[in-house]
Amino acid sequence: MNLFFFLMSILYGILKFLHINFIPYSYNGIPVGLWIAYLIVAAVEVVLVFAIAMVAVIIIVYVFRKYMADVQNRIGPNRIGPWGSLQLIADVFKLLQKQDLMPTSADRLAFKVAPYIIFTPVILGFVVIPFGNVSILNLMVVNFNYTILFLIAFMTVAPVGEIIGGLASHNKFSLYGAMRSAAQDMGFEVPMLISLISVIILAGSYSANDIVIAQRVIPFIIPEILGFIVFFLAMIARQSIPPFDLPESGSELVSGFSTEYSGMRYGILYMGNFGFMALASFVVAVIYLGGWEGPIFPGTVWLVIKGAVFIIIFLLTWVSLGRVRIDQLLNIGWKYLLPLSIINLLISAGIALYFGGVF
Amino acid sequence: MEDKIVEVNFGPQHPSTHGVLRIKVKLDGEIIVDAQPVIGYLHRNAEKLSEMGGYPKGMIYMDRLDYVAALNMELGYVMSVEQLMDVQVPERALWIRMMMVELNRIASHLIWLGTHGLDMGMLTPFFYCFSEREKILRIFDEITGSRLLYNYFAVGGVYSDITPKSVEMIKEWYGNFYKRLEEIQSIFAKSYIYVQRTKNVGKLSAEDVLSYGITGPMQRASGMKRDVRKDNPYLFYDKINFDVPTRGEGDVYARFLVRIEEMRQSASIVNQVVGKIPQGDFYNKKYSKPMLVRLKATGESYVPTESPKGEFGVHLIGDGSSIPYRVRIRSPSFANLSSIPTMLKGYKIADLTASVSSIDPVFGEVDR
Amino acid sequence: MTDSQKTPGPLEGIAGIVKGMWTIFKEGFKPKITVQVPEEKLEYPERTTGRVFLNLDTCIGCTLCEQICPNGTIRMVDLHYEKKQEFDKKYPNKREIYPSVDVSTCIHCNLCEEICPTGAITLEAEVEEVHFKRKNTRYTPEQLSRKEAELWGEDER
Repeated sequence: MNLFFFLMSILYGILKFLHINFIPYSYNGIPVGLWIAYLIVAAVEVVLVFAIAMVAVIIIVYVFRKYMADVQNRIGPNRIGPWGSLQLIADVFKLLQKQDLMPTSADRLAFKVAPYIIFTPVILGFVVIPFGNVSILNLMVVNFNYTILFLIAFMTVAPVGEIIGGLASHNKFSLYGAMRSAAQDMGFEVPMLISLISVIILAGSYSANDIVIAQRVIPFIIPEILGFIVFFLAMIARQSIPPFDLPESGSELVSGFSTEYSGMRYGILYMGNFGFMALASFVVAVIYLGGWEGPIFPGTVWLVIKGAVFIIIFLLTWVSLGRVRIDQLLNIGWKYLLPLSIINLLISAGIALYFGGVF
Repeated sequence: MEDKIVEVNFGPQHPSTHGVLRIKVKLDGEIIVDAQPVIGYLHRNAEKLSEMGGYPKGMIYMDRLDYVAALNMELGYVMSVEQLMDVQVPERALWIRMMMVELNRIASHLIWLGTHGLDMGMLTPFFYCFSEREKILRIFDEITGSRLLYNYFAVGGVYSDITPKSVEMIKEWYGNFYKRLEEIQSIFAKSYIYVQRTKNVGKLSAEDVLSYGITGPMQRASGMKRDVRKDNPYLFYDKINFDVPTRGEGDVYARFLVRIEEMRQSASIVNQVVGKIPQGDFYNKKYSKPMLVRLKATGESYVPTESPKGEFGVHLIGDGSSIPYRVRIRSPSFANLSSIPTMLKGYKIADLTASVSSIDPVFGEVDR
Repeated sequence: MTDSQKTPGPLEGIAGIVKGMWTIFKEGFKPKITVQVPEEKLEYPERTTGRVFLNLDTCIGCTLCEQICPNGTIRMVDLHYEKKQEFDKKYPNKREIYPSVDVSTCIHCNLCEEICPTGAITLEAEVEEVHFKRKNTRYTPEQLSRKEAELWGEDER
């Protein structure tokens, strides 16, 4: 049973308590009452997912600013809210009241749409992550047989937004940022998919919940250590985190593809970046470390702990490593990661054959 | 199908050109075909103003040329004035001058190291270098009264004496410095990302260096062992032990190693001098106000000194009155910057920031 | 010396990356060096060349400080024409002029302190000058003899 049916049954119980009964109502054979009930439950789910994503973004931005200040021997934000926790909300208010600038020769529709293309897949990704298992209730918003494919499809849309944004601002620096983004994402897409295929071979299904259940025997990081390295590096490259942050290299091209964005449009890009970091660490925790499996605590707490480990590792690489050049980046993607992922695929296929079928 | 060449302007406002430099770059894809620097955005007329003000006021304009290593600029000017006017300087003042100049060299190289890390994308070594520099600036505040622009050297000596508290501060700073420099170096020097980004980038051969007139760490990283402190020793450099680091390759990595080793040698000079300063006067007692010495002078003088960027000197022509006829500043960064077209042709955009930051230009000095 | 140092190969390079990350990770546990200024105080040494101070008893109005100032920060003001002067009769020197300083353009070069024959104008360790409007930064001679803590809040709005 998943969250949709759970919420429907709650709605049915509330309506029965209030003695309102519009569900069997139908008009000319169209079950209008049922559709209204579906709409209400769907609206509640949308608000729930949005809230989870926003809370994750706020917490990650706070941890990032405090940790970066910690490593640099200084105190981060500490005046707004207790220990500086409301700093992001103050920043959002500041960005909201800025003037909306757009270059006159820019492509207007593409310029306005591009930040939303980068931001929406982040929220959609949170729909399919399994957050836990409370007796027979699966804590994920949607559960069907192909959730991993759905997730990959949405994560692939985000770089398209970067390219559109870079090309729409009529600026040579943005053009270079957009082209570098295209090259980087193409180079790291294929090894990532191949290492995911090896996980799917071992688990036997495309659904994220089944992958978590299949790791009750052993977490997948041990038989697939090579695949883990490939997937981890590809995730770093996807989110444009240093050492791979070429599309938005802060000191070479003034700000890469996001040079002409200011005010709240830039705020949405910023939140999309950090939200993607949260999503990526949860995905790595689900696929390689076992998701919500764990002895004593409830499932959600285990998932948050495993996700937090990866967030700290991502932040540490951000803060301490420099930037690689574009041709060295493509070398890493095509010359080193692709053979590693193919070797990993052969290893996991061999393991699946040896143990006679899938887990 | 012919390739299109795009002309991009890395303009005066840019996060990583060290000041106001404009480079007109012609790009073919990501490869640089041609690069022309354009300067002059910080011209403040230092030479004419020192010609109008006279010898005392010239000191404050020299401070503001290379503002991160201001005492080196003052040293070049004050030695030239003393040679022109024939003024004697007591020994204690000369030893104090040597110690302050070497401390300022370390401070300048620390700024270079921090901003070089920023250009490569690393955000944290910047803070470590600046917190080390803060300790040196507090030493300067204790002795001279200012942190960045001093007006401390005067014709005939120095303006104020060193205090026992400042000697303690220097010894305490010296005790921690080598370990801290080792930690900061370990973030860069053996890291694969940094080495791949700076090996064989921005190469200058020894013939290029001679033909452009490049001096300083850039010259020493291309194989030529020249240092004004060893070739024409001034102050007391012939009585102190120190080495001059050189390397043969001439790329960005070699310049990085040369400057780090120079910091170590300067720290050892400071340590040797602190114990050796003799007692005595700190300015020539014949002139009661050391900052305002104005004598009538005729003739020409030029004394070359070694600043952190290269060879610096001020050429003075006096015409018999107490105001100079001509003040001409030989600034090292101006000559070093002229090597940009040779250094960048055939490399990629990412190499542009690495190469320009390895020249270490300061635009107060280039534009004067 | 450094001529014999070799440049690192790939394996040593990856070990170098890990060592760099470990050094930065350890820095997170050292004490912070920020001084949060309104609550904690920064200390300045006694020789710090801060704001110009004027001793009204010993100034003789010789105008040497106005002549030597490099950028025209010091101007002499005439006692009878400046309506804001509220001097007691014991202050006026023989020429009845005193220097007035614009603290926002002063470059703290110490030349006026050097040239003053009586030592009336000095630079003390006072750095916290705060004003709301630019016209309040031109101090009258009477304001120059007082410390900053007495002058906060006296601006015209």
